[in-house]
Amino acid sequence: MVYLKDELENSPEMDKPPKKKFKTDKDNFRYGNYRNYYFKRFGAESKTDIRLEIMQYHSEYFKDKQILDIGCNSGLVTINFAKLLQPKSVLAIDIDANLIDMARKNLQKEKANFNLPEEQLAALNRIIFRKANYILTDRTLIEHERPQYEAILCLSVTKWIHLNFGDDGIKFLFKRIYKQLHQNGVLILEPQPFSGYKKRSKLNAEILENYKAIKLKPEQFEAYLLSDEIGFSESWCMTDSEILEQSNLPKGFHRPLQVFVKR
Amino acid sequence: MHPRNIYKNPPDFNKLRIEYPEFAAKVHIDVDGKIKLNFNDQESVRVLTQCCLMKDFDLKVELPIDKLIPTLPLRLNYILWIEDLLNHCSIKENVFGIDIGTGASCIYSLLLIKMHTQWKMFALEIDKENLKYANKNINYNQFDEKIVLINQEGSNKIFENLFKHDSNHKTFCVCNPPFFSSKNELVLGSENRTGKRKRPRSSYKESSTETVFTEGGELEFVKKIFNESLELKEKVEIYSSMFGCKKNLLNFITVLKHHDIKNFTTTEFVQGKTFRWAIAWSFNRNLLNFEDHTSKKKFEKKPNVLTHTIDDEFETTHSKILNLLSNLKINLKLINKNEKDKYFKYELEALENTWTNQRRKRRAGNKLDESSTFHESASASQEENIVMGFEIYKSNLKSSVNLKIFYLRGTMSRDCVNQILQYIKNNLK
Ligand SMILES: C[S@@+](CC[C@H](N)C(=O)[O-])C[C@H]1O[C@@H](n2cnc3c(N)ncnc32)[C@H](O)[C@@H]1O
Ligand SMILES: C[S@@+](CC[C@H](N)C(=O)[O-])C[C@H]1O[C@@H](n2cnc3c(N)ncnc32)[C@H](O)[C@@H]1O
Repeated sequence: MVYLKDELENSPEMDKPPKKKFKTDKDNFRYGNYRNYYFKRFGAESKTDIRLEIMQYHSEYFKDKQILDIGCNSGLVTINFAKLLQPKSVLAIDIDANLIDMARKNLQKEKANFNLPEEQLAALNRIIFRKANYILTDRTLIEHERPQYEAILCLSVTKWIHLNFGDDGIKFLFKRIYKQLHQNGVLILEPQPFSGYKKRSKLNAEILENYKAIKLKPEQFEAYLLSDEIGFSESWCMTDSEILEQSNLPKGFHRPLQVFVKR
Repeated sequence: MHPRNIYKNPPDFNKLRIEYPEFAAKVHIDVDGKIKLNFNDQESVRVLTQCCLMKDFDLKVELPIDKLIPTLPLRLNYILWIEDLLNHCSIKENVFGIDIGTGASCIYSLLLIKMHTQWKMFALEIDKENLKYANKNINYNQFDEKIVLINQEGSNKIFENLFKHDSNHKTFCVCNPPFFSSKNELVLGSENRTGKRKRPRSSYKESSTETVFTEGGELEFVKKIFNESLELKEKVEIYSSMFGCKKNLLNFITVLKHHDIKNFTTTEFVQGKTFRWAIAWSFNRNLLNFEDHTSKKKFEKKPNVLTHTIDDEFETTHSKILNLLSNLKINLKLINKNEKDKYFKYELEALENTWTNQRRKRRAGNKLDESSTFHESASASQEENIVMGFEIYKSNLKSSVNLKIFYLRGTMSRDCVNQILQYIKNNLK
């Protein structure tokens, strides 16, 4: 399996040498909302995402369950997730309306495939794509949040939320996820390491400021999620190191999928 | 919605949730942080209504959960229309109102007194429980001097007890009549008589029979008011009632005409997709010109164009729709066409409501029971019609077809336009 490098090293705008202090023209992509993310990630041939392969080993968390996918980009992982894991429903959101448009189109295309097995088509019909910023402007609204999902996917999104909304934003993310999960529900988290933050910190002044103020580093997420402030009871790593080794995934993608269980 | 109705814009859920913890306990937020309320949940609707009454009118009202929860925008529409009529008749002082069937909420009387502290209201009610709550609500708001509650228990008449209690002239009456003639009508008929979204059937379980069921439904009840008005005449200057079903209103108008009563006026209340009607009549010669009052209003209404897009080929969609319309016995007149650009404009005319019956038949599993046959015969004797404009054209961007449909004229309600479009949408799939 060949993966091209993703936003860490090889996003389109990185080809040109930076001239200005802030790449204001790149402000459009300040959320990691790249248009050709999956092309970069998988290359031209579409391949099964290794994360989906891993999740398939634990399908009991997803089959017939209600799922939220935070930061779904153009929806390709979401679509394959639904096909392979047969959830009861998937609400997939992204902060970028254009990406949601693309995701909907991708879904239409996928549904138009005549060779699609019946139950996969049915699963696709249970996906909803919606534009939404998970980090609400009015933070007090969190008090109305009620359990409604059995699994929440938050894959390669924390860096962007962290840079754009700071420690406060990351804490809000975790609190909201916890409140939205049913008892025995799981958060599937794929956090990006802190080492990759720096490169993105100069996107604009606000992000730079947020970056400098970060105290809660990704390495501390696990402890924080298990602390009383959030309340998860258990965590474990879904990614089998053997699988990772076998895949030709570049080092930058050796990010584990962590599972957090709400009891 | 009446231009003076403060609920032209929906209530600010965010302000309500911050001010009222009981409301905050009911709201949900969607993934994007929009505040939502489940309108199918009676308890949520009840809390919303109570909080709005508190916030917008400074009224403390207790609403028992098993009774009709009044829809404020709709109640206000009626009240504002009555204000308009009184204005039109230059009635300003010594206003005495009658609220027939005030309910547990005592809603019309409370609102009217709040808005016109100089007025006096007589609130009539027959149901023991309702009387108890209405009395409480009057007390809570210290309106004991302003609102007189009249117990109708055991009375066959509407106005008898009232005039026994106080024989003076009254200015007007308002009435939201008990509506369902039978359980069948409840199931098959007007879905959302409360003005809210569809009410879960279970919420009627506890409802006392008096509240929602009445012999002969709303039409019989208003006829009773009318018959008594024939004797009382100018003892009440303006008689009025609401109707939840246009057919009943039309039937009632025939009754008025039969008695050669020309001094009446009607109106339509629209709140979202909910339609209600009201009529007022009078025996006072000074109050003539009612008709002018409404006809002016009617012309002010802008045509409400409904649109829909279908992702399909033009020719097939076009012919499918023409088929559907002919199934519904809707007459088509081609007004305009441009084959090259794939644009067609028609005038549609329906002489009977075939689409709701279709819906009912489907819901009732094709079984026609007594109440719906009654409705059909009633409609056949009635000279109903509706004329609509209809445009169908190919979208020049995508391979899709655009539809436009709008009300032009006729006696049937405007919501028929929406129903027909819905019918087309459902049957194209
Ligand atoms: C790097 S992509 C990850 C896509 C996908 N989850 C995956 O792992 O294949 C991150 C996505 O998160 C979205 N995103 C960033 N901040 C967000 C927020 N606050 N709410 C919702 N989506 C957000 C971005 O627009 C971007 O599409
Ligand atoms: C549809 S409810 C209207 C309640 C309230 N006015 C509202 O709008 O929410 C009709 C009311 O009329 C009452 N009612 C029925 N027959 C009546 C009668 N003969 N005299 C007075 N009230 C009566 C019922 O008990 C019921 O409360």
